[in-house]
This record gives sequence, C-alpha cells and structure tokens, in this order.
Amino acid sequence: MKKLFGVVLCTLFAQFCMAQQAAVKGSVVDTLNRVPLSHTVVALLHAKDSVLAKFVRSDEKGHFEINHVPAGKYLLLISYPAFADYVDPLTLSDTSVVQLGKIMLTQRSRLLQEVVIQQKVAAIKMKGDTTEFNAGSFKTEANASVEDLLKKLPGIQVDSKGQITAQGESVKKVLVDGEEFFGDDPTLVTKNLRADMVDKVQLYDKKSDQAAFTGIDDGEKSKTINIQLKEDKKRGFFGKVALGAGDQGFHNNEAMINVFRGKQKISAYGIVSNTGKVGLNWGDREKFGSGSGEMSMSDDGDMVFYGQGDDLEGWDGRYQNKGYPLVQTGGLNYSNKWDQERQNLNANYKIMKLFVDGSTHTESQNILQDTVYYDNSSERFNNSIFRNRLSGSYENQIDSSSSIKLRVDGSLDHKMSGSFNQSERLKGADLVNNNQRKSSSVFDIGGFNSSLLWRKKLKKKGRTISLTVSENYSRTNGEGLLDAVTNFYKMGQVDSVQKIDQRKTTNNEGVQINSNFAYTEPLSKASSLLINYGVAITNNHSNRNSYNQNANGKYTSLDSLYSNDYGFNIFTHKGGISYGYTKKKIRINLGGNVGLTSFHQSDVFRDTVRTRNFVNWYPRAIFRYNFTQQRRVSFDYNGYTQQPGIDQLQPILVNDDPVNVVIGNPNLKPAFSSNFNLNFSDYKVMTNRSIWMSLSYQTTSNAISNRSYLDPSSGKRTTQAVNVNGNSNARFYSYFGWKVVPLDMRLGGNLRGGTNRNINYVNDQYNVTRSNNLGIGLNASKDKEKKYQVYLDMSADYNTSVSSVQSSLRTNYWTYNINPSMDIFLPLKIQLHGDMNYMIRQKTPVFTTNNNAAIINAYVAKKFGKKELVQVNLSMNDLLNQNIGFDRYVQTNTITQTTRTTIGRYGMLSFIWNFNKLGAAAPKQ
Amino acid sequence: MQHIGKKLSFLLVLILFAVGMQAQHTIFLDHGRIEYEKRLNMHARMKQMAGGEENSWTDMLKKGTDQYQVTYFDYSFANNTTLYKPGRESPAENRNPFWGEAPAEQNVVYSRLDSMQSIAQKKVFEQLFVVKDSIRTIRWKITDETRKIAGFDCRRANAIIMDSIYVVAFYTDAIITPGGPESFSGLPGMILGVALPHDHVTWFATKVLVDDIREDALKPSVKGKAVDIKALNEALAKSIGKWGTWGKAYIKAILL
Repeated sequence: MKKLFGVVLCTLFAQFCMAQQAAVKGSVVDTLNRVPLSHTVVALLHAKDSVLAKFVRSDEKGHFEINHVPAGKYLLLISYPAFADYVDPLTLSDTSVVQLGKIMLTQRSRLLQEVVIQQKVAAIKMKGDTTEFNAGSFKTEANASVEDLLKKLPGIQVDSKGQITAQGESVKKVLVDGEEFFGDDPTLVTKNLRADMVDKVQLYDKKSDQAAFTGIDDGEKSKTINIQLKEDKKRGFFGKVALGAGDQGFHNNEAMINVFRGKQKISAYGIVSNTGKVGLNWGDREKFGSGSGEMSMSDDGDMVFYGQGDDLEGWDGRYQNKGYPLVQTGGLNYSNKWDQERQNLNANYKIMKLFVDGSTHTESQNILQDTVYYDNSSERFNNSIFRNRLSGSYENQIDSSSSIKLRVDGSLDHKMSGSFNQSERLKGADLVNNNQRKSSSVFDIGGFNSSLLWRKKLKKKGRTISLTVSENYSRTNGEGLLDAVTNFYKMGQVDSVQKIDQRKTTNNEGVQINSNFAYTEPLSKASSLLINYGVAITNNHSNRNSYNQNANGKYTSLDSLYSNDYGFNIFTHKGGISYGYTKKKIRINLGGNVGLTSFHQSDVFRDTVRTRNFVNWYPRAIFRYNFTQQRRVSFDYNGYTQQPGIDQLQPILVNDDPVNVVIGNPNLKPAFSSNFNLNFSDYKVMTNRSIWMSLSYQTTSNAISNRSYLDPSSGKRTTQAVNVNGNSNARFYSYFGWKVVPLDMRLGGNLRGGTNRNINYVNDQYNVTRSNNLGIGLNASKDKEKKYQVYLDMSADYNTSVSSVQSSLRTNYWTYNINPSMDIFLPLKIQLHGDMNYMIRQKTPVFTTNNNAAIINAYVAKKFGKKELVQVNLSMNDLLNQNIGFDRYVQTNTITQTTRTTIGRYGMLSFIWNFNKLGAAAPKQ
Repeated sequence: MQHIGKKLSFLLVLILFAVGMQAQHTIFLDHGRIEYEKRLNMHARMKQMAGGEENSWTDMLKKGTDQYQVTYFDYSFANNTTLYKPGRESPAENRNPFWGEAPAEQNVVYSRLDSMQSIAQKKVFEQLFVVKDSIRTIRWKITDETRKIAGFDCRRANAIIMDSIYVVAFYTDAIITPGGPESFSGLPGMILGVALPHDHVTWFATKVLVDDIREDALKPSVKGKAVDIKALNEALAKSIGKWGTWGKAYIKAILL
C-alpha cells in the first residue's frame, strides 16, 4: 500500500515538474551538403561547472528535442564525429520552449586549426633521443605546479589551458613515474603534483599504441614526457629507552635509536639485562637491528623465510637455554638503498658479553633386556661468552634481467665454561657407580661465511641462468681441564676407583665450498626444464689431545687413547634435472639430483687413509592443486642424503663423562631419508572459517643411530654412532577454526598425533622403540578494540613409549596445558594484563615428583601524554614462583627428565620512553 | 593463428571505420564488442597502502609483484543492453602474491541502460555475490580535451564517485550505446577509456569489433548470493573492512 502511494506521488510529482520545466528543440544539418545529421549528440551542460545535465541524439531527420529541463544557465554542446563542436550558452526559464531551428555543423577538416576544439591538450610531438631535464636546476616558486616547472624548461611551452608544446609540437602523453598522468581537475580534486616533488623530466619517443598492439611499426611515434618524482626524502629519528629495576637485583635496560634520511638508515641499540632478554625482539629488530631475517619470493610466488639466526637468541630475542643469563650487548646497523632501489647495502656489527650460571638436575631411565638402570645427576655450571660479529649484504639489480647478491658474515667468540657435576647410576635399587667431576675450558671460535648469487634472465621468456657460490669456514681452538673421580661399587661397597686428571686441547678447522649452476629452459608456456650442476667440497680437520700429568705435575704426557688427529674430506659432484609444469590451478615439479660423493678419511695418529665412494640421490616431486584461491591441496616428496659429521666419524674415545664414554665410528655411511607430505588448507574469508590438515611420513635408511654397551660389572656405558635401517615416523595435524557470529568470538580446535619408530642397539641387542602421542587442543578468543582481549588455549596429550628390549615396561603419561591470557584497557590509558601457563604432567612409576607448574605473569601499564610516548609498567613475573624449567623426553630406550634453574618470581618497575622526530622533508637541493 | 585472426579483424574494423569516416556520414554503432585492457599499477598501490612505511616485508612483496597487473575484459553491447565480462587470458605474468586473485577480476556486469538497472556478479574470495541495483548516476564534467582510443575520437569527462574517487573517462559519440566498463556510464556515447589516477588503475579499449550482438543474447550471470549495493557494502565491511588499508582498497575495487 505504501509502495503504491509512493508510485502515485512520484507520478504526480513528475507531472508537476514536467509542467514547470523547459524544452529545447532544433535540428542539425551539415553545412556543406545541407544533409540532416542523424545520431548527433545534443547535450546540455550546466554553465557554471560543465556538468552534464541531459543529452539526446538527433533522429533520422536531424531533429532533436530535450524536454523536462529545469530552469537555469546551460551550455549547449552539439557534437558529431569528425565535425567541429557547436557550443552555445543557453538560459532557460521555467516554461520556455526554445526553438533553435537549424544548426549547421562544419566538418573539422574544413575549419582553421585555431577553431578546432579537438586538438586541445593532446599532443606533443618531438623527434630525437630522450631528453632529460633535471628539475632541481630550474628554480620555481614554492608550491609551483608541474606546469610551472615545465614552462621553465627550454623548448617547452605550456599555454593558458595547460596544453604542452615541446619544440613547436604538442605533447601526446604525460607520464608520472611511467604511469599516465591525466592531470587533476582542480574543481574536483585538491591533490596536485607540485614542482618540488619532481626529480627529472624526460622527453622521448613512444611508439604509437597501434604499433605496440599490432606489432607492426607504423613509424608513427609520439613525444612523451615522463615526470620522475623524487623519492620521499624524509629525515628524522626515532628510538626507545626502557629502564627497569626489580627486586633481587633483576634489571632490564634497553636503549635504541634509528636515524634515517631517505633510504639511508643508521641504527644502534644496547641492552643490559638479566631477565632473559639478550637481543632485540622481532619488531625492534626490524626498526633498530639488521632486519628480521631474509624474506624472498620464489618465481612461483611462494614466500621463503630465512631466520637470521644466532645460536644464543631466539626470534623473540630471548635466551633459550638453561640457567640465569646476564647480558651486556650492543649493535650497530647501517643500510642504504640507492640508484632507484636497484642497489642496496646492509652492514651490521654486534658485540655481546653473556654470563650464564645455574644448575640442572637430570633423572633418566635406561631400559635394558633384563633390567633397568637409573641415572641421577646434578650439575652446577658457570659459562661466559664474548662475541664479536660483523655481517653485511650487498644487492645489485644490474639491469632488468640480471641481479647479484653478496653476503658476508664473520664472527669471533671467546668462550669460557666451568662445571661441577655429581652423578650416580643404579641398577634397580643398587648403586653401581657414582662420580664427581670438575671441568673447565676456554675456547676461541672463529668463523667466516660468504655467498654470492648471480641471476640472469635471458632473452627468451622463462630462460634463466643462475650461479651460486658459497663458502663457510670455521676454526675452534681451545683447551680445558677435566678432573674426575669415579667409584665403582659391588655389593654396596666401593670396589674400585678411577681417577682422571687431564688437560685436553682442541684444534678443529673446517671449510666448505658449495657451488651450483642452474639453467632453466621453457618448454612451453606452462612447462619448463631445469638443469643444474655443482661441486661441493667439505674439508674438516680435528685435532683433539688429552694429556696426563707427568712427574712434575705438568700436563705433558699424551694419552693416546683419548687423543686423535683426523681429517675428513668430502668431495661431491652433484647434477640434476627437473621438470616443472604450472598452469592455473595445477603445479607439478618432478626431478632430482644425483651426487657422486667420495669420502677421504685420514687418521694421522694411526697413519691410515681410507677412501670411500657413494652415490647419493636427491629425488623430489611436488604436486599442488588449487581448487580456489583459498583452498588447496598439495603433495610433495623429498629425498635427501645426510653425511656423517667428523665428530661421529673420528675414532676417538671421549671421556668427558667417565661413565658415559663416546667413541667415533669411521665406517659410518651417509643416511638417506624420504619425506612424504600431504597438506590441505581451506580458508573462507567472508565467514572466517579455516581448515588445515597435514599428514607426513618419513623413513630413513642407514639412519645414524647408536649402539651402546653398558658393562654390567662397572656400569660404564660406551656409545658409538652406527647406521641402522627401519627408522620412521609419521605425523598428522588438523585444525578447524571458525567465528561464532552471535558471540563475536573465534573458536578453534586441533587434533594431532604422531608415531615414531627408532632403532638402536642395546648391549648388542637390536632394539625397536615405538613411541606414540595423541593430542587435542582447543582455543577461544574474543576481543573488542580498545576495551579488552581475552584468549584461552588448552590442550591434552597422551604419550606412550615401549622398547622391544623389555616390552613389558611401558611408559604412558598424560600432559595438560592451560594457557589463559587477558588484557583490559581501562580509562586514563591504563592497561591490565595477565597470563598463565599451567602445565600438568602426570607422574610415572619412575618420575614420581610433582612437576605441575602454574606460571602467572601480570602487569599494569600506564601511558602518558597525547601521543602515548611515555609508559610506566609494574610487572610481576612468575607470581607463584613455580617455574622449574622442566623437560621430559623419550629417545630410544632412554627416558629423561630434566629440571633446571630458571628465572622465577620477581617484580619489576619499568619506565619506557619512545621518542621521535619525523617528517621534516629535506631542503630543496 | 587465432591471434592473427584477431589482429586481422581489428585491422578490418579500422579500415571499415576509416572508410566510414571518409564517407559523408559516420557509421554509428549501436551493437558490437569492445575489448578493454585493465592496467593496475600494483607498486604504486602497495606504496599507498603501506602509508609510506617500508620494511623488509613490503620490500619483498614489491619484488615478488609485477608492477603492472594487466587483465582483459570483453564488453558486448546491443542498443541499451550491455554485458561486461572477463576476456582473454593476459599474456602478462601478473605475479601478485599480495592479492592473490585481484578483486574485481571476475566481475560480470549486465546493464540495462534504458532503465538504469544492473545485475553484477562479483567474486569476493570464496563468495559469489549477485548485486542487483540501479546503476550509479555520475555527475560528469564535460571537458574539451580529446584523444583517440582504438581509432575513435573521444572526449574527456571528469567526475567524483563514491565520495572520493576521481574518475577520468573518455567517451566517443560514434557509438550510440551510452555505456562503459564496469558500472561507468551516463555519457553521451560509449566510454572507451577510464582512469582512476589516484587509485592507479585504467581501462582502455584496445579494439572495437562490429560483431553482430543480439540484445537478447546478452544474459546476466545470476549464480551467487543476491544482494543490493547496501547489503554488499555491509557484508564487506563486516569481514574485510577490519583489514586496514588493504581491506579498504579491496572493498573500493569491489564496489566500483
């Protein structure tokens, strides 16, 4: 009913309007032939702004009639292809019916040029090579337009209508940074190009669009102006100072600054802390450090990330290992991009002094055929490292087809460590041996790595060549002292005592050179063939000597049993071929490499030399199918070879732990692993639903495992690396997440599991350890911008493990994790934060201590100032003081549980000041 | 062979047209087919979206992205009925990990210019929408600047749409159907070129073919969730609208 009423009203209104509006009538005729022109466009524009009000086309007799025109001032525009426009002002009152009669149109070719409206802005034509003007050398006033600048350039005129003529010819096209510049209508857009934004003005010939399109050069070329804009030459600086002090001497102080000028940037940082922070976190590294690692994109559009690793700090800049770290570190970074970003340079220097002390307690269960051994050990340690590291990269996009990238990285470490260790070994409940040892060492470790990558695209599309050469060199020199006393028990009584008092020296050196040359040949639009060949050389030399005290108390008599001088060189020719096919939804890659590897092992002490040859395979297959943009399935297979390391190979007895002796195996062969992966992902953007699933399987032949022998009389264990067959593992992971619309929150759940089969030899018996785990996780999150965010993550995992040497003994246990976190944003720029990591680990018959821990962290933060640059935090770490640094893992027939001293409860008050001075543009050059 | 065929037909049209020009009266087209080339300057777009901030992430994206993303659309018109739909495959690689499939790449727009109604099928990630609504009325400012596009003399008109998008359009009065690519229309002739200079995107006709298109042969694509512009706007704001500058740019492209 309402609708009907609306229609009626509209109709009435329309009627009313019609009665009140003007009409224009007339006809159009060709001047020369006096023929009526049909289909002529007759348009009325508003006189004040040329906005189109109404248009009609003339009928076959050239008649036209524009009705229902509101009163006002108009321009009548009549146009007909190849005829000159007819423009006439027209004022219409409410009821006027204007009879224009016959309007004569004239063919453009008959008109004098100045009358022609057509050739207006369009054209500049010029001949000759590209002419370039440097905008800086022509002075213009502040806020001058680009047209003002062009006027100043020799040979270029800009008339009052903005038309550009160069050397008497008009300019066809104006480009800005290679993109066509249409000029802004100042009545519609306020943003305009200013002269001081221009770097260069280039004049050159451009083939006509038709020539470019048809590929037939019609010889018609038009002059084009390209206006190249200046890079944003912003300059300024920003930085952060954070000072924090807590109870028990805890402190965390950081300062960082970044000074930039255009693309040039110098940054520096310093950290003094004992709260676990040893480096910049991810976000700060981007701003103040050497960047957050390497990111690059392959030709297929896949992103590749390389972490810029440091063995001492994780991605979050925190210390990952055991103990209490105390750090003093600093870094300097310089980076620059120039030559229109075709070249860039990055240089970094880092210095760090890190002290770590602490203690660990380890319990382990070692399952044998007929019995179970238990090890309990405690260690106190005190380590320090002084590190200097220099790294840099240079990249040059030489031209549109070739690029080169050079990377270098050198470091020097001075490492000192000392430890005191006590351990006991029990067979069932009987003490077999116990041991006390003190060790200390000083090492100097130096390394230098470099790599060079050169890529070139050849003329034919898809044909490329690339060359990679890389080098890694490392050297370790050092010495240490070992002082150990071991008591061996029989029937609860000390049966014998072994004393070790040795000085140990280490001189290791290794160099690796890798090269690869690759050539890609396109076979069709969708497929290509890649051929590659490379040589890899690895030379390692290890000299480890142990000296006993001579009569004078000096460590000079060499103990040949624990000494060694060994060289291990690997030489590999590696070549391969692979076929790639990419079309729309499908991507296939098939191929592989074969390596001809020879091992050259020289034992200087025993004066033996061995040469062994292997053929190594590196097959690879990828199949990927994209159902839609966000739903894809992929399968890939990857086979690769792992070479044994010199430490596993050299036939030296290592008695650092006198009851757990390790000996090398010069007969080790390379291991070969096959990996199979199946992945599926589906993400619905509009409903925010995601599904991920993955399934993987790995099997290894000649896997490097170990053979251990535990002497039943002394309880001494000797372990040696050996090749085994039959190691495999399989894993699956699935995740389902969606948005619960009525509650405006996200929910997710995952199911995961894995099974491992590991082979080793236990007292000459073949042992298969099977371990399985199955887990389920749930997470939920809800947030409201500037109000709160809440997150909850829970998981439960079930672990089982059984070794074939004693299959009646099973280790089964549950672990649970509950991690809630919450942030509340209060008025007055106050933020409350709390998070908890609650870990529950089921006890086992062996591990009977309570290992549950609830680690709660909380803070209150208040920001000050308009820009919120100043912040004060009051934080509490591990509120319940339950952090026990717990770890439990199963490896073949040994199950180990470790607890270690870690940073526990402390409170801290910190003050954070962010500062910046930005935006000041560089003065005009 | 097919390619040559296309070239030939293009040349033929040119010749025909040239013949028409020489004759006393121009041939006016009221049916035919236009191929538009859409060029998006992705590097400029990314720079805009990053708000001038540069980091290793934006650097990498830029390196992995071709500066110009070139796609083709076929536009058929017969009297007052037009159909705009994806055309031939682009010979350019259009590497674009940032967007994946660019928004509006799959748009199919059916317009009735007499009643000013359109049915547009738009793909937003996994969701197909069918937008039924009236065609946007654009306040065109007619200028006296002209240029030749695909052999036709075109006149420039400027406008602002969707409150902030500056549009430059070039239309020819030699084609009677007052349409254009996407939803651009309302000029006294066919729009053969559109540029959104501040959004770094252009549509230019590469050829105009006098195909015998029958009005009733043009049919809208109706598969998808039926919405009007307002409902589409709301659906987009709810999902993609939260994704900062990236989301805004996406929505803008979809709503054009």
